[in-house]
Amino acid sequence: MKVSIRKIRKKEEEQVIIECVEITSQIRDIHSYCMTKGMELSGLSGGQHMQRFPLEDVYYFEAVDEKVFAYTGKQVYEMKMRLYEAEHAYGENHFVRCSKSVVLNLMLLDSISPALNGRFFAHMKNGEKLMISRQYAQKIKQIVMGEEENET
Amino acid sequence: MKHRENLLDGMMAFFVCTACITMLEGVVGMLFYPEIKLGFEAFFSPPIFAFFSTLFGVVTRSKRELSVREVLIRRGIHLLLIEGLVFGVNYAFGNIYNPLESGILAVAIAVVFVAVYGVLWLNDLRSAAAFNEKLKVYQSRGL
Repeated sequence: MKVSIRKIRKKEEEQVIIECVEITSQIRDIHSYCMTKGMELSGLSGGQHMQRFPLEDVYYFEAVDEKVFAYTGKQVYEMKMRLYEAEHAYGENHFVRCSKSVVLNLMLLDSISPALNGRFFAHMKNGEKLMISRQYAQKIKQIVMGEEENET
Repeated sequence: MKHRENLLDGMMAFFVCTACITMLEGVVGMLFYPEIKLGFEAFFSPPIFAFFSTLFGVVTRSKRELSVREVLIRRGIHLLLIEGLVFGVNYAFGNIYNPLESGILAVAIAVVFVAVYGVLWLNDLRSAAAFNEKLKVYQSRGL
């Protein structure tokens, strides 16, 4: 596959164009990668300052009292969106619902371990531990394990 | 999808429970009642007890997410229901136990109860290990 880079002047006009004969899983991976790398979010930090931060730095989104927060390794940002919007908007960027109040980033998930009642703990790469509820565990397994899990 | 998961979970619990009850009945019978000979109908006892024990597991289910404390309380209720079932059925069939036998039976039921959840937890552990392996592949593809 040929790769070329063309320099432009305006940051807003930066883009990646993929030219392919067929949309294969590899092309989808490249697309997904580009989507994640290019995307920046903005949120309120400390309840005062609006700041921009990369989507790939977000470990998870959490809904607390009608508000949605994005947790990066260092900061917590209040978002102007609903949790289901984050789930749908960033689904292609490896974000998936793991409980009623949390959407986590699969790329920053370190491992899972069994908890009680068929639930699982999600151990994030920053050491935080989230709960994966029963109803979402199966979907997460299907996303990560693909067809193999569907057959079992 | 959710009903299918519940059904699969229930079947898993049923078969593990049947196996554990069969072993329990074998061990308790050999130790305390070696002189008793049973007919083929005795083979139905483990799956029947397992069926109702699994059915009583409905008390551990909830639409909302339960805290660890709530899960433990519900499991305690589940165990009490199973103890009640076993003692009730035995009483109904005229099997009256002395306090020592009752104590041994109650402990044996609790052991089976813990063993069943233990096996189910080990299955989740195996499933988690397989997931973690695939997660690394998934992440390397996405990077």
